[in-house]
Amino acid sequence: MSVALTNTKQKDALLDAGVFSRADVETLSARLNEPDWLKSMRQTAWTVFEETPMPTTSDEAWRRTNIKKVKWNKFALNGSSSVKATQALADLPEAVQSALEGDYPASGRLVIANNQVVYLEISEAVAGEGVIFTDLSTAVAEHPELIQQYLASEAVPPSNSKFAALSSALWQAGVFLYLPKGVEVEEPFQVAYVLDGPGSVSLPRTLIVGDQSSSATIIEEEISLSEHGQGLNVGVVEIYANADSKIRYVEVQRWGEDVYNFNVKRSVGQNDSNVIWETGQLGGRLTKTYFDSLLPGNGASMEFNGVYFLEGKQHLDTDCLIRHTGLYTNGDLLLHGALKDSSRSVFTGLIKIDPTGQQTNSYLKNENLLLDDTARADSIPSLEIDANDVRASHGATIGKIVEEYVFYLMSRGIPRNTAVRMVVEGFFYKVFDRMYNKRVKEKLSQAVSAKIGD
Amino acid sequence: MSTSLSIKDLQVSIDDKLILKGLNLEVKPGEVHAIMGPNGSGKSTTAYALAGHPAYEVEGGEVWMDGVNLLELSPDERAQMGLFLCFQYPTAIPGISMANFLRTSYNAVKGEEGEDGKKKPIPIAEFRKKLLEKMDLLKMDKSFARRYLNEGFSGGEKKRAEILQMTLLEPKVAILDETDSGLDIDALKIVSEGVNSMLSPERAFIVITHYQRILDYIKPDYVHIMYNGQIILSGGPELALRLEDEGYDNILKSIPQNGNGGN
Ligand SMILES: Nc1ncnc2c1ncn2[C@@H]1O[C@H](COP(=O)(O)OP(=O)(O)OP(=O)(O)O)[C@@H](O)[C@H]1O
Ligand SMILES: [Mg+2]
Repeated sequence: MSVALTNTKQKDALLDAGVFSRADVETLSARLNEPDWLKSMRQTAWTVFEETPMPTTSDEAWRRTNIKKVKWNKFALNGSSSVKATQALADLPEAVQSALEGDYPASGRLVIANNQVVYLEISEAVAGEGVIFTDLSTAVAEHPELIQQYLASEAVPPSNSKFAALSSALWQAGVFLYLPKGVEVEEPFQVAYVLDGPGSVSLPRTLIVGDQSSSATIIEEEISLSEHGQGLNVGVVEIYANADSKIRYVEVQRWGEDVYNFNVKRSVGQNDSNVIWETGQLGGRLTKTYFDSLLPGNGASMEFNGVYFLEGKQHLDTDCLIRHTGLYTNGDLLLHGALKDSSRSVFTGLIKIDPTGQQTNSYLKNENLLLDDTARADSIPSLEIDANDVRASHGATIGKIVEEYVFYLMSRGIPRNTAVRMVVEGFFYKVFDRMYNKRVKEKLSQAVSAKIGD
Repeated sequence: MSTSLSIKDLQVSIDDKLILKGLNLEVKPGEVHAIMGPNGSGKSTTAYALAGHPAYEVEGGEVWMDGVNLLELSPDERAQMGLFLCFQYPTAIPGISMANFLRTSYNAVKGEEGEDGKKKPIPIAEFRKKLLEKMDLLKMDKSFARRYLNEGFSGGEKKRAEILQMTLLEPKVAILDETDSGLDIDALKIVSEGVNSMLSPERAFIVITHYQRILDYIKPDYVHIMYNGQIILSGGPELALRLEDEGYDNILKSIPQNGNGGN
């Protein structure tokens, strides 16, 4: 279906910049020797991308995040990366190695630098149980039926949004994790997405499918090899949690300070499934990320434990949806952020309960700590309830550091800088304390502490 | 003998309201001073002003500690010099564990300076041992160390935690602001023993209280009565007993002219 837009064709800055074109889609499919179904999927998605207008501040979801001034022509697809493919962790740049936590056991590790897979390993024991952990292009060749079934289907189809359509049309490399029925994987899967060099574009796509009664943790860390130099990331994560499965998705977002970052991350939870999001959003110049949890299954639940720490001119827009469609579903979201300098955060959180979502319990809260007068936070939590037998509540706070806390610590000899840092860390601990995976908790708290500095 | 703390004509205001109206007090090493006085007379204000709370504006006067002008120092520097205040209402801080807080504080106050001028932190195991010793002395359960700083502590537990900090930091001048109120009889005894174990010729105590009871355990050398932002009467331990008998009204009447300052 295509709609003729003869008279009101809007200017589309991203399209007009020529960074991406239909020719890129064709070249990509040819280069990767893709099957016809994928080729046509990309083509259709490209059409949707072309026909979907760029979001502007007149769109409610983008009201406080203005991307009009982004200079899209600064970006180029297929920028080469200095990171060479290797079989050895030790050959990878230090920043990548530290993201992958080589000293700890992992069920698998995957590194994608500027859309190229440069490192991949999976533990033999885990592979032996039928778990698939590989890059998405390889999965297309080796497990086409699974990819066809899930990729860009219920969770994030191209029609989701402008950037989701772009991702569907032009995703370059990504992660596929499949957990067979009943398989519980203990150690986490670790993924590093790397942006390397100014003007680089990354189009990562993560697809996670947990079959019945399976469980796993996947940790994705996003890093730039150089702190400066514009980069563009357009990413999609899809999580399909089938009945009674438990998926923990962890994101440590540490893009460099000039990166523009757009993501749609969405989970679909079937009966009695449990999806846990744990995120630390620390990097990037401007970010708009959706974390959407769909709970169509009866007894499905989700939990979200997130933190952000912003400084300089960083702008972070986090948009969360908890949608209760099944019976007695559960949602619990807590997001704490601290802001320095003239940074800015926007939080939009919606608990939506469908008429079928009886006996739902849902809770959503965003707290902000403004560390400078020039920082600004907007927090807009809301409820949309169409069922009568439910419990739902939300909250938002925006406050300054409590000087009484700082004074108490100083009165015990602790210098002001340290005291402030302790109070900020304490503020984040309300979230970290909810993280049951010790390693995830440590990783995120260390990432935050490193950013707070002294 | 040198003085630990010398307060001269101290005037302090909060929100432009003058609360301390010329306070004078000399405290020498090894001495225990008790300060008593009706509600709102300025006892806590004195304590906060000495600790350097930013809301307490010093309008005049001087405070010297070991020959250093205390009023020029930030609160952390005052603590590092050896001043310690047991708060009447200790602050609870979410998300900071007692153990982490106590170690950070200990390192800041007691850490030995290395050659680079930075304080060297005490090894964690060594600190832990020290901490458990002190907690034992105050009959505090080990689990306290894992809890958040004063969060959800009962009134008495908070006071005990304050004394724990004092025994760790071993200050030169300790001010106890109504540490006895909110303590049950056993706790009062334990806390007093904790304080008494720290009495030394080098250390001075200022004990702010409403009751004679704590002074039965911690014997003061001097008792001062504070009224309307000044010390209006000073004496020995017998003054506290007299106060208990006669009450403030009678004692105030017996002073010929209120408002000329203390000793
Ligand atoms: N933040 C404040 N703003 C305004 N007035 C204050 C403030 N803090 C204290 N005061 C006033 O200062 C006066 C002295 O208070 P302070 O707490 O020093 O009394 P206190 O002697 O410790 O009394 P108590 O025995 O009840 O503890 C009181 O009148 C009190 O109301
Ligand atoms: Mg008081």
